[in-house]
Amino acid sequence: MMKFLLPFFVGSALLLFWEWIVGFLGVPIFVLPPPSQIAFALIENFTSLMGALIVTLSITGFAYFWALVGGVSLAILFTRSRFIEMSLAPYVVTLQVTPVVAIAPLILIWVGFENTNQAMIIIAWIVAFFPILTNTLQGIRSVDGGLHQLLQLSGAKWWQILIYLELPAALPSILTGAKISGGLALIGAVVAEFVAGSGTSTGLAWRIIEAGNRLEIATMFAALALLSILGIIIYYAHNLVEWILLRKWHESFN
Amino acid sequence: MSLAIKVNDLNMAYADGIEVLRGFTYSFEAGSFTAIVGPSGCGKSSLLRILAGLQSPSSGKIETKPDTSIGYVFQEPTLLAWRTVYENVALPLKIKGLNQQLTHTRVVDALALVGLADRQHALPRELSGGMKMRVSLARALAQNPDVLFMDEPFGALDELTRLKLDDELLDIWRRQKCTILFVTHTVSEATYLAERVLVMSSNGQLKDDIKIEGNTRNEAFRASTAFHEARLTITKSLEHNEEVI
Repeated sequence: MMKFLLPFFVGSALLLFWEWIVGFLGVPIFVLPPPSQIAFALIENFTSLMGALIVTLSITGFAYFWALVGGVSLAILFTRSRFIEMSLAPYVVTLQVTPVVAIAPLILIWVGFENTNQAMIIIAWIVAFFPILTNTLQGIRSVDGGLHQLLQLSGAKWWQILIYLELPAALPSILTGAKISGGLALIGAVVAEFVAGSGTSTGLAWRIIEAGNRLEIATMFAALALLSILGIIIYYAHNLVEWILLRKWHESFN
Repeated sequence: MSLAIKVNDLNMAYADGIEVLRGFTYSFEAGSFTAIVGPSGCGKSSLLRILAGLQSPSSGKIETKPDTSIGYVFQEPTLLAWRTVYENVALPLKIKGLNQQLTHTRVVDALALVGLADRQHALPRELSGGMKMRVSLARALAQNPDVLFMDEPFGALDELTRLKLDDELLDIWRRQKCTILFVTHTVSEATYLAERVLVMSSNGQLKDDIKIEGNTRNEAFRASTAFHEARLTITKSLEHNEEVI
């Protein structure tokens, strides 16, 4: 109970202090609006902000889904064949270490300005996919040698070893990777919206830029708050999935 | 008596040049219980892995009857943490494509043999070390093995649990009539369990083949002169080994 009450009290106290100090010092509304103004802006622009939220959420969701599929598949491929891993690993690393903001304009040009949404999904995907790949790889490689021998003795085929042993054993690592990627997909989506620029994008990040340009700082904060809430939901949704899938057998839930 | 495994001039050297088996030749009779003892690194475990087909020897010949089914019990229980006791025991049968009905019968029988019939739905983490080892044994037994390989299976357990499991194993062996190859580093355990004890030398050769007299295995046997003499013989054979090093 304290786990929920303490952050709640700290948050409430901070908001009250914020509301008071802004009024007390007479800070202009276009520099730092009080929380009440932000709440008002949120209610006033609720429909359009929700529309923007759905756009950002869908970019995040698609990028995350493909990061999960791509990361796990590539990890499986790498652990099946040393040859494939040696051939592809340097390029995967290159894609990861090159700043995505620098590649984004290229992706926009290649995919075409008429398909900005796809371009944004690709950009967010590049940001999100690496943690899933590395965590899945590590998970599969850490499978106990004795368990491998056990399945080998039973005459298991490679796909049986994968399904019965490697994927379940790697599940905790995959979920850790997924949790990181979930957050990164959101960051990637925001970056993608920033890069995609005016006129084409209608997500939350774009609303932040737009509101900033019009000095509607309260709306800016409202959009920012929605982004934070989205990130928090993504994080706790992963904790929930972990709890559902691992609590019965994994050491971390002892 | 027919032979279960005939091994001829088995040699094993690893890539780094370390030789763990030299000219190992032996015939394991069907239905026999053989213990293998020897100093660390003498190739006991490698021998077991090679005979089970987990590893290829550098040279040598192994003959078994066609369609020999094997069971293997590792030093660790090697259970899948996310599968229940039942599912763990059933896994090798599922992989081999046995039908559900037959799998069920075999799993239930094997769990009854090791005294875990009422823990079918438990997860490994809910079991004690001894119980986990019993599940591991049940998993091997469920495959109706002709040959059962056991690699220091009770080494990590406390003394009392180990003595109890030794007796249970003998009981199972008499009922199942399978051939057992049992690697251990405990001389008294080898003496108590086996009909024959093979002593390996530190350079990977078969040094002695010691027959243990007496058919009954109980507390009286543990206290008997025959038991102590046999244990002494094995210990001496092992000690002499150390001098060679």
